[in-house]
Amino acid sequence: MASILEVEHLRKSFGGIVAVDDVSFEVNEGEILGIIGPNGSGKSTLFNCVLGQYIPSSGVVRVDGRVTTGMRPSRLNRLGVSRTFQLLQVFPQLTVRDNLILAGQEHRGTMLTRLFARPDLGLGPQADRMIDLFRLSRVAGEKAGSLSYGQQKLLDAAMAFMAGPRLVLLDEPAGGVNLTMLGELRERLREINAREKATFVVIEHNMEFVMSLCTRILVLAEGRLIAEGSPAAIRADAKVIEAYLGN
Amino acid sequence: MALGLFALLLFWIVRSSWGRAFMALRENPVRAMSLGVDTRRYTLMAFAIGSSMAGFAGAVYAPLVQYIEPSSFNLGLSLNILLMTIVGGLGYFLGPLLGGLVAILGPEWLRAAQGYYLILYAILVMVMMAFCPQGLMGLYERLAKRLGAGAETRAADAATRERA
Ligand SMILES: Nc1ncnc2c1ncn2[C@@H]1O[C@H](COP(=O)(O)OP(=O)(O)OP(=O)(O)O)[C@@H](O)[C@H]1O
Ligand SMILES: [Mg+2]
Repeated sequence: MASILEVEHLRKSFGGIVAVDDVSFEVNEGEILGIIGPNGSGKSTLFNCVLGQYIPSSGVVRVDGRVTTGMRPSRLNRLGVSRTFQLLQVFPQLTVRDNLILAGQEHRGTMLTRLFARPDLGLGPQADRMIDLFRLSRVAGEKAGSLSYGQQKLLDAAMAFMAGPRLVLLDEPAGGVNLTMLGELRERLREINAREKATFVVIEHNMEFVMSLCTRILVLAEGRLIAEGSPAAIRADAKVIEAYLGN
Repeated sequence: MALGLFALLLFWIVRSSWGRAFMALRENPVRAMSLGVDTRRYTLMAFAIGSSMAGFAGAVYAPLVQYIEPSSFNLGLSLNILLMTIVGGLGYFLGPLLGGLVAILGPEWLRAAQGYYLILYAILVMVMMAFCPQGLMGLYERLAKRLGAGAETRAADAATRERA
């Protein structure tokens, strides 16, 4: 199977703290890869390095075989890589619909053609599909800031799918989402994964959620990759149990 | 005439997908960037649009006063224009227009205060910054919302009374 993302010997330090320490892995096209690890183990930092938010101290990142280390986030996004942040990040003053259209608009035409095109750039139907899919139709015209936390979290995830990305990195999508929604979110992710052939990398503390959603799991501890394998193998791994219970 | 033309042009830009991108950049540049919004190009365009309008304003201004010298464009004027946008409401389409009206009509209304006018204006601006950083347009929006909410409660009240 072809790999869509390759990370080689990635390292990121902040002053004396080595947040990500010599991490290497590949993500295969079409898989749902989980990343777990204790708080502060470097999961979010790893995402930020892959996505150009941080410049890695050393190491190489490749998307589709092309080196993207240090590439600007906006450019990476237009190459088909999208993400959510750990902390909720929607645009509170824009409506739910405008949040979604914004998430897709930079993929349409050029800046000049966008200036003269219809304001929604023909993205209305796609936005409505996302609104339906994530059960947001009741609030579609409301400002995103007025939604409940869980709804904003769903909108945040929906925005990552607007442009039909090939690779999506989700940082704790289940945080703050209630149990019923959680099941729904998992189904939505599976659907999009199967139907649109999108590849996912998911950071998540909710074990039940990761184990049931992901086909393969990486475990980070203190910036290092300590284990990799199927959910069942990870559950039984002594090093993983130690990392979670031993400190 | 010129104002109308520019208002129209600006309205077009604000309504287009550019307006959405500008708003997103103002609210959360990091998230905007992660969604493909090219911060540098949009910021550049915002400056370009602003400067070309200022340039055009200058070109209209010269024939209007029929006399022009560098001292008409001192720091005071720049500050005054900045204040107009702040008082009116940053990020509102009608904000600068409203701010401009206040800045120009204010001295007329407060003529009685004579030399104290500037002090009054300064106090007004400071009070605004402290209690309503969104400017007059923001104030208007808040009031409208409160009145709207009031109307809703009244309607709800009436509904309950009817049922009882
Ligand atoms: N911008 C930064 N400046 C300084 N230190 C940072 C920065 N970002 C992360 N760190 C440090 O890097 C380490 C890893 O943080 P990171 O956010 O990647 O952890 P995480 O695995 O995502 O944790 P959590 O599960 O709590 O989200 C922490 O020790 C943190 O303090
Ligand atoms: Mg994190």
